[in-house]
Amino acid sequence: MIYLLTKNNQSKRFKNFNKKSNGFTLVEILVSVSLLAVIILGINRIYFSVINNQASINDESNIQSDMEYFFKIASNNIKATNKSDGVACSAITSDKFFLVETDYLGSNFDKITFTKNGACSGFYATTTDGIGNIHLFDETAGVDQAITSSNTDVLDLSFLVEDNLTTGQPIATILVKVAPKSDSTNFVYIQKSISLNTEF
Amino acid sequence: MKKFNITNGKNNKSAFTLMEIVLILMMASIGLVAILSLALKSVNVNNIKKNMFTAMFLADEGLEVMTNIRDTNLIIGNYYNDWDNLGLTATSGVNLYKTDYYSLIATTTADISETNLWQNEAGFYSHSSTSSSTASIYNRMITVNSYSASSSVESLIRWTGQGNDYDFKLETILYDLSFN
Repeated sequence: MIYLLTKNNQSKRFKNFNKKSNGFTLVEILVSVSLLAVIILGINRIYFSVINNQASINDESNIQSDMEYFFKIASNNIKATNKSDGVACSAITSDKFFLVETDYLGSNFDKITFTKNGACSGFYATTTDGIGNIHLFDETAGVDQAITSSNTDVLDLSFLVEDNLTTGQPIATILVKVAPKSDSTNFVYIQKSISLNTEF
Repeated sequence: MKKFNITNGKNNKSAFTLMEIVLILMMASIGLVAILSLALKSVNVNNIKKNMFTAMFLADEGLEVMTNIRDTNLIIGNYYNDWDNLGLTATSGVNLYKTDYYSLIATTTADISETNLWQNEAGFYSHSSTSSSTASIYNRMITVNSYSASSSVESLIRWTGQGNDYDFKLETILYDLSFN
């Protein structure tokens, strides 16, 4: 009896409910969908700007580690440079430390040559597959090795040396214009000076 | 049985008022603006980091040039701390200088606003300005506190980006390595 009563009552409830409630109108649905679209578009923009930012942070740290590696090798080599005797590395004038060839072979990049442990070595850069790479070479040992990764695009490499001083410590200044390989307009200039350990 | 009847409740329910919708929209837009400004800030931070990268190496170069001056002084038998190479005299106390790879001599300066670094056409940063060079955003001032046996040297880079001033500073101690 109680069961019947409840059942009866429930069916009445649902009947009433269905009868009284209205569906959404077309205008309501249109408004809510367009609001949702605006919100999703906004979120989408944020999402992509965060992703882009993440990518550029990644590029930046690639450049940083590449450049730090290059400067470490450059420091080790340039600090240990000997005065040229004009024989071991005949391109360098005797009593000088460096030879800088500006825009070597018509490229954007300078080439620096110095004597180290009686051998002719130095740095230059080339473009391979559209990406600029810095190379370390040692003519005597026949070594020519790219020392920057393919994530980093070297756009410009310049050297300035000061070994004409009658008195004073020779110094080499390196300037690199470098960008991530994905975006060459997002470049940064890095300049570093290295003094020699050798006494004049 | 009355309390199971929900038709009464149904009748009382009305649509949202204009005020309610405006309020909801306002709250939603405040939330969105907050999130957007956060994203914008992180883009700015990235820009600052890029300038900082160049500043780091420029500050390091300041110390390297001062070391070079110290070494030259030692080689020619000058006082190790004759930074400006004037009168072959030792300097003492706190002095403000600017110097670069080009001059290899420290020049006294009054404050950091006079120490703008210029980029020549090849891109090299130095204090010499010519018609073909452009002013960079960086200033570099060297602060030296000289004593007879050692000097503390501080290389300060200051630049302006997005309307704010940023500083990067490196310090070292240069010793008198002559044996006299």
